[in-house]
Parts: sequence; C-alpha cells; structure tokens
Amino acid sequence: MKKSEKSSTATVGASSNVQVEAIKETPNKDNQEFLIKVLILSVIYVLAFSTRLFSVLRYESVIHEFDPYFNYRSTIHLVKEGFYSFLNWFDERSWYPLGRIVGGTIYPGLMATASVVHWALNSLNLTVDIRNVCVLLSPWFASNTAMVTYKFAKEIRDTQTGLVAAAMIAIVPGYISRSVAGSFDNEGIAIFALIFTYYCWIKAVNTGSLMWAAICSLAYFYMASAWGGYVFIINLIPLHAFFLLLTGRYSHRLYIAYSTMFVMGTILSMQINFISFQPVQSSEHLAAIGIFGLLQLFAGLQWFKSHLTNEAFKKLQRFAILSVLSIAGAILVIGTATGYISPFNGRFYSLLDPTYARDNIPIIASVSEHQPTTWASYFFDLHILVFLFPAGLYFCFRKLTDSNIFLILYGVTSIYFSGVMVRLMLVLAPVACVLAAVAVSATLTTYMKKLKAPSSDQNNTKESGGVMVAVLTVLLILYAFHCTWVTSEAYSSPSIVLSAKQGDGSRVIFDDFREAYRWIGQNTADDARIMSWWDYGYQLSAMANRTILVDNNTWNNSHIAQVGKAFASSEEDAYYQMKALDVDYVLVIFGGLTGYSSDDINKFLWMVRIGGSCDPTLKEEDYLTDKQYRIDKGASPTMLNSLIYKLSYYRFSEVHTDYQRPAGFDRVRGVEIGYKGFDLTYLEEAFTSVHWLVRVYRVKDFENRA
Amino acid sequence: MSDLSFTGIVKSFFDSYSKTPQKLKIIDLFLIYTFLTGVIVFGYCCLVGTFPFNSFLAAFISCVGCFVLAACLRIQINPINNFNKTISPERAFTDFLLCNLILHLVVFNFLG
Amino acid sequence: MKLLLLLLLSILISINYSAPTFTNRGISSVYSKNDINNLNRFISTQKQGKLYGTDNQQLKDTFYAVGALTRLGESVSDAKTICSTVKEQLETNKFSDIELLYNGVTILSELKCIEEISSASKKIQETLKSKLQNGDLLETTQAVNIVFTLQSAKLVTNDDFDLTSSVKRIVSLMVEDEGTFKSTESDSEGTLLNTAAAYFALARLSHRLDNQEVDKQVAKVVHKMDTVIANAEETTDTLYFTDLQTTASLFHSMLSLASINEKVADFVSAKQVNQIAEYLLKQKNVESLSNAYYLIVGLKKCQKNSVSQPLSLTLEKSIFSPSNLATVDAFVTDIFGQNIPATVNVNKIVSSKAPRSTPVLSDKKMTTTGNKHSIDVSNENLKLGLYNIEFKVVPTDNEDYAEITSTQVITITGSITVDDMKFSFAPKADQLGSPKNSQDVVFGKKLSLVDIPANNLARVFFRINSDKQVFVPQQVGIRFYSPSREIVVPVTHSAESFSYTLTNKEMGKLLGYQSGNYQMDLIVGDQSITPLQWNFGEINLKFSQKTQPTSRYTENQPIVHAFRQPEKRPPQSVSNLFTLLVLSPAAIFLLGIFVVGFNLGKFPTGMGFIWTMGFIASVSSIALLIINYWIHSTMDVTLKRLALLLIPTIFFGHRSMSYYYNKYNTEKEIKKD
Repeated sequence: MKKSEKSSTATVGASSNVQVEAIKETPNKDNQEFLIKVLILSVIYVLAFSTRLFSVLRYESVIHEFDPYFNYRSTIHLVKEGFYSFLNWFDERSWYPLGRIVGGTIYPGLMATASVVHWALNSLNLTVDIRNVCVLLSPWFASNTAMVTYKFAKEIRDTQTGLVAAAMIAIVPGYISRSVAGSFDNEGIAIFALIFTYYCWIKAVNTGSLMWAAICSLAYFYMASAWGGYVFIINLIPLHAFFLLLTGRYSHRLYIAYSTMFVMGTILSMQINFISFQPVQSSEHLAAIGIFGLLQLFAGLQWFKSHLTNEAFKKLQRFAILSVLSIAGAILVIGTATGYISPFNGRFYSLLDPTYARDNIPIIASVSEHQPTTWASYFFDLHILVFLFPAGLYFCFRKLTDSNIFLILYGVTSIYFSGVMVRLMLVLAPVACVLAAVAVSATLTTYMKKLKAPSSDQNNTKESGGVMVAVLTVLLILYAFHCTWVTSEAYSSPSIVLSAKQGDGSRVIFDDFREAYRWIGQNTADDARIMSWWDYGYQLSAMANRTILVDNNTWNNSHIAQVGKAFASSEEDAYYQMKALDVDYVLVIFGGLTGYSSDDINKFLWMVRIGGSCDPTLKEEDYLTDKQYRIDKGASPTMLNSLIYKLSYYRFSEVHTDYQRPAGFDRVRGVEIGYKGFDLTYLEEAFTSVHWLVRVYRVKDFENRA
Repeated sequence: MSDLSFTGIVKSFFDSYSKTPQKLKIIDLFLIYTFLTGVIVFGYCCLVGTFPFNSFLAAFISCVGCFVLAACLRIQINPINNFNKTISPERAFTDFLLCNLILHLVVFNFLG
Repeated sequence: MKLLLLLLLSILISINYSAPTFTNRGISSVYSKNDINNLNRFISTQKQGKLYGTDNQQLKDTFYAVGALTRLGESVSDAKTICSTVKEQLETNKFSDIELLYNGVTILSELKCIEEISSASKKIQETLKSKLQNGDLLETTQAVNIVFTLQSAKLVTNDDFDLTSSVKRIVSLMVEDEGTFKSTESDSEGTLLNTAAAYFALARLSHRLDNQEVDKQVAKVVHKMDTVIANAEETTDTLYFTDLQTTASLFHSMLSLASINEKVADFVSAKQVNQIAEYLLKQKNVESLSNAYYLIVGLKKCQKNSVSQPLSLTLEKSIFSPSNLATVDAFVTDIFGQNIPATVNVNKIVSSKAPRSTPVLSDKKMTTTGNKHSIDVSNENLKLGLYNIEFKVVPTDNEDYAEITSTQVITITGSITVDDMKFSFAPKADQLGSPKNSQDVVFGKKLSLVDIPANNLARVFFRINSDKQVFVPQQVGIRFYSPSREIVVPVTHSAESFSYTLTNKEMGKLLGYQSGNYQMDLIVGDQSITPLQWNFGEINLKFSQKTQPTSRYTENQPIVHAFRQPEKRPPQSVSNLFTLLVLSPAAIFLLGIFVVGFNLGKFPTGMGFIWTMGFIASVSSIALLIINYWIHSTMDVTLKRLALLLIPTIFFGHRSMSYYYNKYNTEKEIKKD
C-alpha cells in the first residue's frame, strides 16, 4: 500500500510539473527548460516502470496468464538453441499427434527482443535470469513507449503536449492491463513499435526525408515481427495519405514518405515467416497497394503537368485516370475470383462487423477479449481521457496540419475498433492520451496566458483562468489516483496464482495451478499426453513440460472440436475418443469448492459449441433444460453424464462447502449438484490440488482380453 | 494557342523536358531502366509463372524500390521543388544510398 | 457363549486341517532290471582302452565305473588289466597323491586285488599319516577311508594311526551354527559335499574305533544334523540337496551315520527317504560315470538302510476293455524291483471323474498267489471310464519296510454308438418335436442336403450309448463348416440325451452372416473311448444380414504417401532468354547515358578525389558483400561484416559529401559575386 501512495504522489508531481512547465514559456530560458524537460521525462520513465510492478511485489516474479507462458517457453528455446534452430522449431509436444511448426506460426519479435536483452545484460556481466528478463520486459517497454509518445506528440504539436502525453500514457490503465510485470505478451512491445512507427511516419511526412521513411519502415518491420496488429498501421498510413490527397494536401514530402515506407515496409514484413506473402495477397493490404499506385499516378501527372500547358494536361489527366481505374478494378475482380487474393479472414470480418464472429466462428467468439467493449470499461480503462478525447479532436480540427489529420484519423479509427473488441482498447489508449494531452496543454496554455496577463485587463478572465487551471489540476489528480487504484486492484493479478480475502480480512493464496503442473511434471511419464481444454495448453507445456493436445494457439479448429466433443460425451464414449487420441491424463479446472468462476464447467457450453461446429450430432440443446444452463437436479441427463461433469464433480458430494448448505454445494453456480455419489469406470483420479482447482485423472488402459 | 493534338502535346513535352538539367536526365534514364526491368519481370511472371514466388517478389520489389527511391532522389535534388533549405543534394544522395542498402539487403535475403 | 463355542470349534477344525497326517504312498517307479542293463551298456561305452574315462581323470572315472558295477553286483570286464594299470599309475605317482591313492586303493579293493600293492604299504602309510595330521577335510576323510580299506585287507592295523585325534580334527572343522563342514580352519563356510565326506568318515571311525570319546564327538555332529537337512530343497514328491552327487553322497553318509546312532532316525524320516528315492529315480538316465556312481550309491542305500526302505506297488496291466475285465493284478517290490512279501488290501475303487462319489468297491482283501496280488472286479459292472484304485500294502517284514497306501489308475475303454438321432426344423420351437418336421439319421450314414428356410429353428437330437448303456462323454460338439467358415458348438446334455437347437440369429452371429451350404460333423471325445467324428449331414442356411468379413481386424489399405507436387518450372532456355531480356534495359541505360552525355570534367581532384574514390570503393565493397551473402553466407555474418564496412563508408562518405557541398556553395558564391 505504501507503494501505491508513493507512485500516486509521483504522478501528481509529474502532472503538476507539467503545469509548471506550461507556465514557463519564456524563450530565453532554454537551458533551464531543457533541464526540467529531462527531469520530467526521467521521472515519467521511472514511474511507468515502477507502477507496473505491483504483481511482482504482491506475488512474485512469475509469468502471468496463458499466452505469456508460450512466449516464455519459446524464449527459453530461442536462448538455448539459437535463432536459426528457433525459426525451424517443430514442436512435437503440442497439438498431439499433429505437432506445430512454431517457427512459422508466430511473431518472433517478442522472443527475439527478450533474448537480445538477456544476451546484452549477460555480455555486461549482469547475470539476469531469462525469466526475470521476460517478466520485466513489458514494464521496460512501457517506459520506452512513454518516451516515444513524448516525441510523437511533440512532433504533432509541441513539447508541452508531448510531456503531458508521456505522463498520461505512463499510467493509463488501458495500456497497463497489457504491460504489467509478468505479462510477457506481444502487445507489450507492440505498442512501443506502433507509436514509434507513427512517430517516424509523421517525422517523414513533415520532413520529406528518405532516412526517416527508411527508419519508419524498419519500425514497421519490428512491429510486424511482434504483433498481428501491424495490419492497423498498413491501413492507417494509406488512409492518412489518401485523406491528404483528398484534401488537396499532396506534397512531394508525402510522396517520398509513403512510397519509400510502403515498398521497404512491404518487403521487410514479408521476411517474417508467419506473414510470408500476405502483404501482396490478402485483401487487408490491398488499400496500401492501391494508395501506392494512386500516389505514383498523382506524382507522374504532377510531373507531366510541369512540362505541359494546362489544356493539354487536363486532356491527358482524364484519359489517365479512367484507364488506371478500370485496370485496377479488373485486377481486383479477377484476383478475388481466382482466389489469388485471399478473402478477408474471420478475425478481420469480426473487426468490421461485430456480430460476424459470434454467428460464424465459435472459437473466436469464445475468447473473452474478443467481446465488444462496454461503456463501463471505457471509463475504467481511460477515465478522464474519455472526456478529453473529443476536446483533443476539437483542438486538432481547429488547426489542421498533416500531422493533426493523422491524429484525428488514428483517434477515430481506433475508437471504432476498440468498440468492436475489448482487446483493441490497447490501440486506443495511446491516441487517447495524445489527444487528451492536446486538449489539456491547449487549455492550460490559453488560461495560463490569461493568468499571467497583466491585471489591467478584465479581472473576470483572470478568475476564469484560475478556475479552469484548478479544475484541470483536480481532474489530473483524480486520473492519477484512478490509474493507480485500477492497476493495483484489477490488473496486477497473475491469474496463475489466485488470492482471495477471507472474512477476517486476511489473504488466502491459491497456488493450485502451479502445484498441479508441478505434480504432473514430476509424476507422469515424460511422454505422457495430457488432455485439457485449450486455455491451459500453453501453461501445461511450459510448466509441466508434457505433450498436450490443444493449446491457446487455436490454429486447428477441428482438433479443438474433438477435445470439446470428448469432454461433452458420456464417460464411455469419451474413453474411446480419448484412447483414439492416445490420451494418458485428463486435466480439468474446477472452481466449485473455492468459488473460482472461470472453470471448465462455466466454459463448457463453448466446448459443446465448438465441438458442435465440427460434429453436428453434438447439440447445445441437449445440455440445456428450458434453454437454461443448469447443473442441479433439473439439469439434462446428457449434461449430468458428460465427462466434464463427472470429472469436475467426482466425489464432490462428500464435501461440505458451506455450513448451512447440503453436501456437494457448488459455490460458483450457487446450487447443489444434481448427480451425486457416482463412480468412474474408465478413468481414475490421479491428483486433486489442495483447493480442488485442478483435478487430474488417469485414463485407464484397455482391459486385458483374458 | 497551344496544339492540343496528341503529337502536339508530345512535341511540347519534349521541348519542355530538354531544358531539365543533365543530372536529372541521368536519373530519368535510370528510372526508365528500372521501369523497363520491372515490366519485363512482371511480364515474365504473367507469361511463365510465379513459381519461386519469393524470388519474383524480390526482383519485382527491387525494381519498384529502385524506381521509387530514384524518383524520391530526383524530387529532392530538383531545384524546382525547394528542398534545398531542409535537405541538401548531398544529404539526399546519402539517404538514397542508405535506403538502397537496406532494401537490397532484404531483397537478397528474400531472393532465396 | 455360543459364539465362543463356534470360535473354538472353528479353531479346532483349522488345527485339524493344518496338520494332515502323512500317508506313505510308496515310490511311483522302481530301478528295474531294464535300467540296470541300460546303465551297464552306458558304462561299457565309456571304456577307453584299459581304463574308463578320458586321459586326464582316467583313474577317477574308473573308480566311478567300478564302484557302480560292483555295487550292482555286475561283473567288471578286464578286471585284471585294470588292476595292473591302476597299480602302475600309483607307482608312477609314488603313492603321494591322496586322491589318486584313494581312487586306486578303492578300485583295487573292489576288484579284490588289493594285495598287489602290499609291497608299497610303507610309502602309503607315510602319505596317510601326513594327511591325517594336516590334510584338509577331504584329504583327511579320504585317508581315513584308505586306512579302513587297507585294514580290512590286513595291510595295516589300527594302531599304526592316531585315528581318535583325526575324529577330533574332523569335528573341529564343523561350522558351529550350520552343522556343515569346511575344508580348512581358515575357510569361513562349509559345504554339503564336505559334510557328506565327514559324516561317512565319522560313521566308519565310530563304528571301528568304538570308544566313548569318539561317540561323544559324533553325537556333537549328529546334534546339528537337522540344520544340515534344512538345506534340502523340497517339492511335493521329492527332496534333494543341490544336485545328484550331493544328494546321494549326503544321503548315503547320513544313513551310514544312522546305523551307529539311533538319534539320526529322529532327523531323517521315512517320508524323506521316500522323497529322496523318488528324486534319485527321476535322475536315472545318467550322462556321466560320476552320476552313475552316485545314483547307484544312493539307490543302494535306499534299498538297505536302518531308517526306512521304500516300497512300490505296480499294476501288471492298467487298461481293460469291458469284455475281458476280470482281475486286477499287482506286485509289491522294493526300489530295485525285488518282490517283497506283503498282504495287500483294496481300500476302494472309485470313478476318477467323481473321486468323492460312492466307491464302486471298498475294503476288499486281495488274494495272493506267489508274488502276485489279485482282485476280481468282473462283478462290479465297471463302465467305460477311468477308475482310481487305492491299495494298502502291509509288508510282512514290518521292521525294514513301512506300510504304504498307493493309488493307481485303471482305464476301461470301448466303442460307442450314436442312437436315435433326429434332425428337425420348423418355424417355431414347439413344432420341432413333431415327427413330420424331423428326419431320422442312421449312425454312420449321411443325411442329404437340408434346406433350412430363413428364420426357422433347427434341432439335432441324439443319444450316446456304449454296450447298450448310456454313456456321457466329456466332449460332444457339432462342427459346422464350409470352405470359408468353420465353427464348433457344444451340445447340451439333459436326461440321458443330447440336443442342439440352432437359431438363425445365433448361427448368423457365429458364422458372420455368410449364407450357403454347411457340412455338419458330430464330434465326440473322451479319455476312455476312441474319438468319433461323423459327418452326418449338410444344411443350407440363409441370412438376411450383410456378410461380415472373416478377419477379426479390418483390412487396412496400404499407406500412400502424398508428397507435395513439385511446382511447374519453366524450361531452362526460357529462363536464359529472360535473363538476357532483363539485362537489356541496362544496355539502354548505358546507351542513354552516351546520348544524354556525361561530364567527367567535374570529377574532383586533390583530396576530393581520394575521398570520392574511397567512398566509391567502400560502397562497391558493400555491394560485393551483399552478393557474397546471397551466394553463400548467413545474415549473422553479413551484418557483422557490414558493420565493419560501414565505418570507412561513413567516413569517406562524409568527407566526400562535405567536399562537394563546400565546392558547390563556393561556386554559388563566386557566381553571385
């Protein structure tokens, strides 16, 4: 708790420093200003890092969640085996019996970054464990993001805006949610790469320098190597170029920046195995190609124009535009018809049309972070930025420049995308900060001037200036408190270790996951195959080091459907399905005893839906009674006999969870279970963790014929 | 006043063009060279097939890249465009070389 | 209270059960004349030249052969030659090797020509004395044996040697806890073979010396005998120590000891003698002379000893046909097949199928004529089958022989007939019995093809008789077979008849729903009859279901590997042409430069020249590096070299560019001026 106080005062300090900075706008104090700037930035740098360390202090230096475990495992592989072996890595311990070509199906940027950091530290004789590098990489990159955001906002507007934006992004919850210590995920470094790319882009457009365009394409390459969100860049930048063309702001600078960035960026991004030829084949990149063509045409015409009279040029222009449009249209139609240009894939459709995925692809809809964002979470993740965002837009519109147009486009598109998917809140957070910073700094500049103006003016304005500054200060302080509170309460739990407050206020730690994975790692054969729902695949393979059937890299829908079907079948049917898949152990997550709500019973309907998407005989209605999902006496027989039910509630009827309740009372669902005292025929209980969170069953061998 | 027939337009264009500095003419020549190479590569891919697709892309993008970079260079050192204040011709040339270095490093990596 | 009683009762019962009384069953076979002849033949095949066995241990093998033959009372061929050869051998050795001496002396004594070495008795005495004093256990015992052999031949006298101290020496070599004997003092463990040698020597010493001191020492050894016996390995019928040699010698010496110390009988029981005898008889097909010797030693000790001498009861004939069944004859013999006078009682005769059922005959005395004991069973009406007969043998000489109860099996065998066979089929079960649906099958004949309509039931009914009497064989089955399918179904037996009802459903399942003609065989099998297989008919079955494949496992298709099709490649010539085509714009470029014209006049001089040349050189070396990367190198190496190359490049680049910049600006200024 002491920690949170310290960081919140630091935040207040930072924001009030910004105000001080705004006051001191005297041109002849360059050195002093520079010193303050550096001071503020270094405070922000430290702050951004330290505010993300709650989870390390509360729990320990562990990797969080699910995907980070895979990234962690891959990083270890990379560090141990070297880069080339990593690119050729075929992982036979996952997706049994298919295996997975890891090197060709991941964005290697994160692992490469972590291993480079690890290598660099070790070359400096700082022997840091690779795990700690992974845990602390995201906070460090968050600090870097703050610095880049400063440059970005400064390039768009001025130094003051830059400082405010940097301070804001350092603590904005929408970004912290993905970059706390231990959250070793692509997004952690991708946001840095994203902002850096945009900064270079703005710089290139503003200067028309080839070098900045080249740096921009390198930054884009880094982004493409780190996160699938690079598509956002390759669509936003053409959009910006297009708007500039439309608004008659075409300049040679734009031509140089865009052409260079596009050509080099495209071929660079194709160096990533996972992306391969997508930039020239998929429709997602089509806009960029189109704008490139358009710009060439435009530049060519400009050149011709400089050598021709107006009348001659007009004639030529009409002819050229018509022919180019018809050729482009023909290529698009033919390409799509022959399948050469791949159609928009599911995730992209779900971006444009929020209902698409839910109706068509259950596996995409089943992920909670693919759900549409609620208003509450906007406020939760952005706080005052929600209100300052439109104000920032207003200030941008008031003085349109090339870079302001970019900021507006970025803001508008990202707010749309974040509305589609909770996950994309992450993309919105930086631009919200920048826009809010624009608003804050513009307002403060205006009213500070009034405050400092000689009092001979009307007193009225001076007072209004004071009020305005005070209000903004209060808002910023509130923002700082909110951010710290959210970080500490909501975003700092590693989800691999759980904690709960007891009645007397003391904390209980549920370390069941690690206990169970450790057990599996120590007590099962090295080549044992473990079936679990895909959520736990990465953790199992990273922590227990066992072969798994499906994991969080949901590349093979039908394989996941098979696992879902096994969980939904009766014990006997499931036994033969599991035997066909060579399963040795089954792992289920059960929260009925502790009240951990994201357990397998609650995920079960998704298993049925995903299973049903490949096998039509599996129907969701069979597991519902009167369209309700129940597990008590009123539940459907199919539900009560399903494997997941039996494995979750095996011997649960012998346990009293609450004093007033009967035995076998499920604390998550709040009901008494409907089927008690059953035995398992084809499986046997192998391990159940202390709080029953993880239960492992062994699949028995076939009976001897004799 | 001016001749709006096609030949007239062409004639006036060449008249105007002949006044450009020799430096730029050489760059234009280079542009034509890369453009033609690109067209040939593309024609080959249309006629024969794209089998080593990465090689084709590398070659084609190399052509396009050279063209674009040379065009940028031309724009930057063209006195008409007033780039002199921010970017000197020497700086432009250095940038051009740097970009080419990066581009071709990647192109050869992609060539296979 | 009741409960307590019950508990007590159950304990009593369990005690009763846990201590079964031992009944001496006698030995199951004997060492007959035939076996003796076989052994004789084996020994004679081992004779090589003058002696037996191979060169290296000629004397030892001769010792075994002679020992076995003389114990059996067989004559040794060429006894004279053997005697002289042995004597020669001993003389070459100068009578100093105790083992050789022992073997030689024993051979000579057994062949009754011991006098031949009387001249050497002095030398022999020396050897013996030294060995008696400080030889190891085996040497001492051998010396003792030689002493007694020579003594009986009157070549030496007792007084020549201090045998009492030898007794002490031998006893001192006993391992206190285990009762076994070790070779020397320094050894830590004793062996059973040593023990056997020691026992035998002690038995002889005690017998000859006959003084209190020796008896006391021997009692010490006898006291430990039970722990030695505990080393034996035991099965239900047999008992043995390690191997034939150990078993026979230890058994022989123990029983020798028994003849002078009655206590031994407490440790070695009649049952154990019986078990050892059984073990020895199992080893009767010997493959070496030493085994032959030890076998005979052991068997002889079985035949004659003071503890118990095993008896055997053998039947003259054990297989009878019902027609010629009159008397069952038996003989009582000892282990060598010598008849032993005894009275024999038949306790009971019972069918071996049901050993606990009421006996056919019980407690009847056998009539004895000479050595043959007979019982008349012709009136007992024995049917086909096997019968257990339990005999009780009471030997007349109940001193040496114990009473035995022996169980023998006799088989009564004969032919059977299948009578009243009916084959019927009908749509319903209750119609099967009616005569119009059934056909009679005469035993031995074959029924013509019967077409059984789909979904009809069919039944086979018959009785099995033997000599007009109902006979229930162990196995009765019907075999249905066609070229592709075959099944055998068991036939159920009830009320003295057999029947099998075949339903469409069951047959379908068994035959895999393969419609068609099936041959039917009746198969009758039993231990006591000649088996019967009678092809009695043929039927046609029809199934509506799909035919199942014969194999239990589904047939797998051979695996076909699908490889990725190689991409279409253009012909080489097209590629070459294209290469030229791609290079052609370069020519245009070069030509174009000449057309546009170039101006090398502005090429710098002085320092500017050096800078520019350096710059051009480093840029072209970077180009070469990239090409080198393309041809054969990795990105890793290339980037490192590139970093190195960039240093001069940047340096020269910066220099030359600033040179141009300055030159340009100065020119401009000059122009302005």
